[in-house]
Amino acid sequence: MELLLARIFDGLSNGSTYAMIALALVLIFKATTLINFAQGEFAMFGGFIVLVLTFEQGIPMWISVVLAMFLTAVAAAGIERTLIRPFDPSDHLPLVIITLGLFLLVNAIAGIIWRFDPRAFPELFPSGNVFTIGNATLRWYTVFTVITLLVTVALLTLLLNKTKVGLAFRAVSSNLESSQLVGIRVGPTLQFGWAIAAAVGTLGCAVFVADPFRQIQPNVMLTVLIYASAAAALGGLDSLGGAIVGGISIGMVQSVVVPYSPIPNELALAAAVIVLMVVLLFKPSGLFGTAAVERV
Amino acid sequence: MRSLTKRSVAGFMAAGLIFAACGSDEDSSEPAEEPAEEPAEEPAEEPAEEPAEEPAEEPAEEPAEEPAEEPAEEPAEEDAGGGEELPLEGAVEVAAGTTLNLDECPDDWDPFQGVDGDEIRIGWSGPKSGALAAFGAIGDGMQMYFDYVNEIDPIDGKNLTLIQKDDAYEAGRTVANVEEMIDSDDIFMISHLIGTPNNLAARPITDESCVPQLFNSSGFPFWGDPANFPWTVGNILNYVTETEIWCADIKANVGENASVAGIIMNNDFGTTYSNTLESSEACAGLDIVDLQLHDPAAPDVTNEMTTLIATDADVLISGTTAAFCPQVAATLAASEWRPVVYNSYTCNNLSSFYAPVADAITALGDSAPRMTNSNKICGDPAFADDPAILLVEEVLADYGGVTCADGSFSTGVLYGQFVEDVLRSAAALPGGLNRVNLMNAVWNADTSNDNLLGGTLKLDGVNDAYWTESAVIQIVRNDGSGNLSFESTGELVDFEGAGGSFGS
Amino acid sequence: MANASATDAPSGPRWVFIKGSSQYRTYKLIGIAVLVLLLFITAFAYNDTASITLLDNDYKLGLTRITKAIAFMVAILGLQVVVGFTGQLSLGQGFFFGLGAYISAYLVQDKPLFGWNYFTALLVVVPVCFLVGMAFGLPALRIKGLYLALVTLGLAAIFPSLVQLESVAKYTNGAGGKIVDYDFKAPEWLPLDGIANFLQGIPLIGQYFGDGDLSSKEEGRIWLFFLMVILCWICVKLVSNLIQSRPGRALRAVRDNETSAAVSGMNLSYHKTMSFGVASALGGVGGVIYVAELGIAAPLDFTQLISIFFIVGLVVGGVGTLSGAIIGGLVIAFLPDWASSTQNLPVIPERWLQGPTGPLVMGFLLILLTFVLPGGIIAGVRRWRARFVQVVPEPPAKLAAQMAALAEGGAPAAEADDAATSETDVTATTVAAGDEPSS
Repeated sequence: MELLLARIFDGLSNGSTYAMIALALVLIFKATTLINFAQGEFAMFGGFIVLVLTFEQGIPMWISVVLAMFLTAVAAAGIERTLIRPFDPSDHLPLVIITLGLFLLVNAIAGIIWRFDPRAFPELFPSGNVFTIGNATLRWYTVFTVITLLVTVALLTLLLNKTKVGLAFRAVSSNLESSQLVGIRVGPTLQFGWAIAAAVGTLGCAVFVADPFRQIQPNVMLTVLIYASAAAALGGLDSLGGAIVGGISIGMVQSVVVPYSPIPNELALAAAVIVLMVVLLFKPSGLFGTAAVERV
Repeated sequence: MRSLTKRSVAGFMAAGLIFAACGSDEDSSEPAEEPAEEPAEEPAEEPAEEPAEEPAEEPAEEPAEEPAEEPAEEPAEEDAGGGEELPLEGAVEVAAGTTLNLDECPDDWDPFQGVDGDEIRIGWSGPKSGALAAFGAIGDGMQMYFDYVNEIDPIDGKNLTLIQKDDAYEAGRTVANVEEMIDSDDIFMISHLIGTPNNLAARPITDESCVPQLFNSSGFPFWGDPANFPWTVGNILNYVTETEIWCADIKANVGENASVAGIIMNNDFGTTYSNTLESSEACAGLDIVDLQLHDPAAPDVTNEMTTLIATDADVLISGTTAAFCPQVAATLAASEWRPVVYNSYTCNNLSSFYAPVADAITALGDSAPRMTNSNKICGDPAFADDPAILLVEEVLADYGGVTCADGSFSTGVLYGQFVEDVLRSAAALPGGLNRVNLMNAVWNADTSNDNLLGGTLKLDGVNDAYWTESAVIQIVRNDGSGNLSFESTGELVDFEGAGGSFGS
Repeated sequence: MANASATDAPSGPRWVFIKGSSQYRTYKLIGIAVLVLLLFITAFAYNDTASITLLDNDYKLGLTRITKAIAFMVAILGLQVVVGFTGQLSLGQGFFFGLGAYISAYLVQDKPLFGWNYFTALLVVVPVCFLVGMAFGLPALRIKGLYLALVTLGLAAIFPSLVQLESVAKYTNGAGGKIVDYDFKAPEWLPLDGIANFLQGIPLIGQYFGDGDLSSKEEGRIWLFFLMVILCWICVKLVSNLIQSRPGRALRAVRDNETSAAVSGMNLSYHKTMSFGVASALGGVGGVIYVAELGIAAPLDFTQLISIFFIVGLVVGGVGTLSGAIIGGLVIAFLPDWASSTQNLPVIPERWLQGPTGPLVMGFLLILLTFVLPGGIIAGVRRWRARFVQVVPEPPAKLAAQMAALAEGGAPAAEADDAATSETDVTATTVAAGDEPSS
């Protein structure tokens, strides 16, 4: 029984990270109907900025995190302005190539600057356990990760629903042309979306590698991105709440379902993909996504 | 789609006609395909420093002996003894059971290719990008050491030149890289290719082109097969031997039927450990309760560790590497399970992998990872004043601007030293530096390296086809202030000569 | 891609060919001749890897990698069918590439039942990949767009783990990769040595064709190259026939608007699954070429990364075009290698060119390319070519008679221009030097 509990705790912990990166993916998707393949690498770069600020500049770690979020937001806004905006938003394929190019570029830059060996990351959350039942320990880390996730979603929801720029964002993601017609400046709004997504991604990566069990290195987000994309799709690519549900679900599938199923552990990703596929077969736009209505 | 079908059929008929017209042969002289997998990984070994040379003496050639099998001709000439220049054509026996059939080499084969000018050109292909990019530092480390040698004491008055190519660990790219290097980069030899599939794919090419392929960085045992592949030489302590050393240690210190749990990286590297555990005689009798395979690109292994912790086995085998080394230690430390832990020695770069989890090491006490190390680790305070280690640090600092903690560069230095060693030996032979002398030097090597903990680097043709065969089991210790070091738990285990060659 | 530039430039393109005329046939023949010549030159010049040095960087061009590019071309051709012409975003082509590779490796190496070679292996690979691809196509009936892309990406990502499973390890050799021991020997009757010697004798450029007779390994390589060129050409022909046929038009209807297609009475399920099947079969063929050339099928060669690279090749070459597949294959075979060979750039400090230079340069180039040529390289090539050559469809009989009469009277080609402006992408056939029709 305690093994099950231990697995549930693992699932919560991993799932929260997938959920955070999924949030970033959803934000970009809502704005542009694109998947940003470089999202994981932006997040990883942000994580390294936290590392540099904390260990090399001596800035207190949570301030580094906020600073890194701000810096990556600015960088992403710049990238949107220079690399994304020149293209017609409805033509996806050039943008896919741009994000793939960014994926390669950012990963390579991080690899060149910091090389590929794992490094310790500041412990953002208090260490130790909330309680222990046999071998099942609920770590403070897991609890705080979930709290961070929920706080992030709450703040994002507030941002999108209660501020003017959030309103503009929702308008743009709902109908691009109409938004332009009512005078919303689409460019800066999309830029805002990219910036927020990058900040959320950085926070997600920072929280992920702040786990005392993990270390940061440039390839850390490679597989997380796949799980996070599956999570985003599962919950619905344009639903923020769906990202949370999707993330936790994928985490649970990986940690809880796989060990008890005939699927061998090394095919854990296959389990996640199968779950995703089954859900999409019944709900083609994900659990909470809005179904696309096509006009003929 | 009827027209498609018709056209498809027509297409295939056309292809069939073409196929029928061609007389492709199949070459089925394949040496035994390995049952166990080999890890192809590059361990982050920290060699200690080494004063530039090592004694280079090559024992004289064996007297006339039947070569193990010769597909084509009778040996045209035998080597009659040291002091005589080895012939550069015909079948040349360079060591016990090891014959180079030079007449089967390509028409434009030149034993002096790559060393006929003022350079010694060495080719290397490895993962400089992709999920295993951490091992790309090995190529850079080799380059740094070669720069050092060129400045301090050039071999034979020539410049060591390393041609590095990136294959992102893809065997297909390794093949293309190797072909291109042989065709157009004028290389003398290839060394330290990383990866089992990569070395496996390159071997037929180097064998056919008669290009030395030395020190394959893959722990698969079948590189020691001079009878069939005289141009290919293995390198690192192979993982089968490593696992057997563990099993011997377990049986001696934990129990004949100890329960064993394992976390294994799901690739050629890790599955060698699991296969050996399950099928080797040395490990028979141990109770293997659970082996968890994990995706090499997984973000972490907490799920697998949770399952293993629940087994409460006596022993944990950690057949994984790189970023997972510290993860296993940290997850273990946080639990209450305290098994005896054996880690792949590829984790032994303390400053790279374990410094981030120094506290976990303290918490683990005697459950800290044990590794079968063959060489001194750069960064281990026990060797802080060791001249061999000091040299490594100097080379890294002066020629690369890095330290041992920055990555696997020190492994590259050690590998560079192996290459330098055999090159100097070959250059000292009558006839000087050429490919035949190089293979002679390698297959009869009897040398040592000050970066090693002990033992010799000895090859003797088919009698002893494995380069590195000795190791000491060492456990990681934290001295209380975050300084990690290795403490030996036993004596040097020396399998020198016992490995024979593959298939024997 | 209309040849609109014809109407921009006041004087129009230099040559205007009317489809079906004898001049057009000559033009096409010249194109084919140039292509064949190019192939021979490639085979014999790059058989012994050539080295191009730019700014102190050594770039290699060798036949091995060119044949590898052919394997990629066929895989991207498959993607053209499913992504370019049917509009289904599949990121799983790497799965079938790997599947074809492993099946053929197993058959050729282990020879169950009888001695297989790569071409007879195709008889197994194509149906198997087709059927598995159709199975992949089934979810595509419900799942669309980006969701489909992510599902297929996930499937591509698990391929390495699948081939390493214990249950199949005895066929796939697990993590070590499956080596195939197979020598391609050129048939005796082929005068490869003769051709090589002839080319070497050409003044000025003869030196690039190597020296002396070819070794048997080199002959084998050239032979394999030509075999694979023919195989690729067969695939291209099959796809182009498919595209121009009725089912092909149905696929394009699905791409342009699924709902309209469905309400027009098309069987969406049939067409979608068929297109996945064809695409996957082509992916499998690509995998066979890969193993034939490189001699090994290893798990980590077929991760999701190669699926992503196929998409890159697809888009960089030009979506929805067949020649784009050719260009795309070359790009993804050579760009990673050339990018990582770039170790000296004038302004950049050396430190930045150690380590993962390949992805660094490649990422940068991809972004640059998207800005410079958003329609892919083929779009750029066509724009350039349209300045010189324009092919005009055959005018209807009455108009042709009028034109003939006027031509006799010495009138300029104004009517031809009028006919040109009414043409559409679908009917205009622009002839690349590669003779591939496209839509």
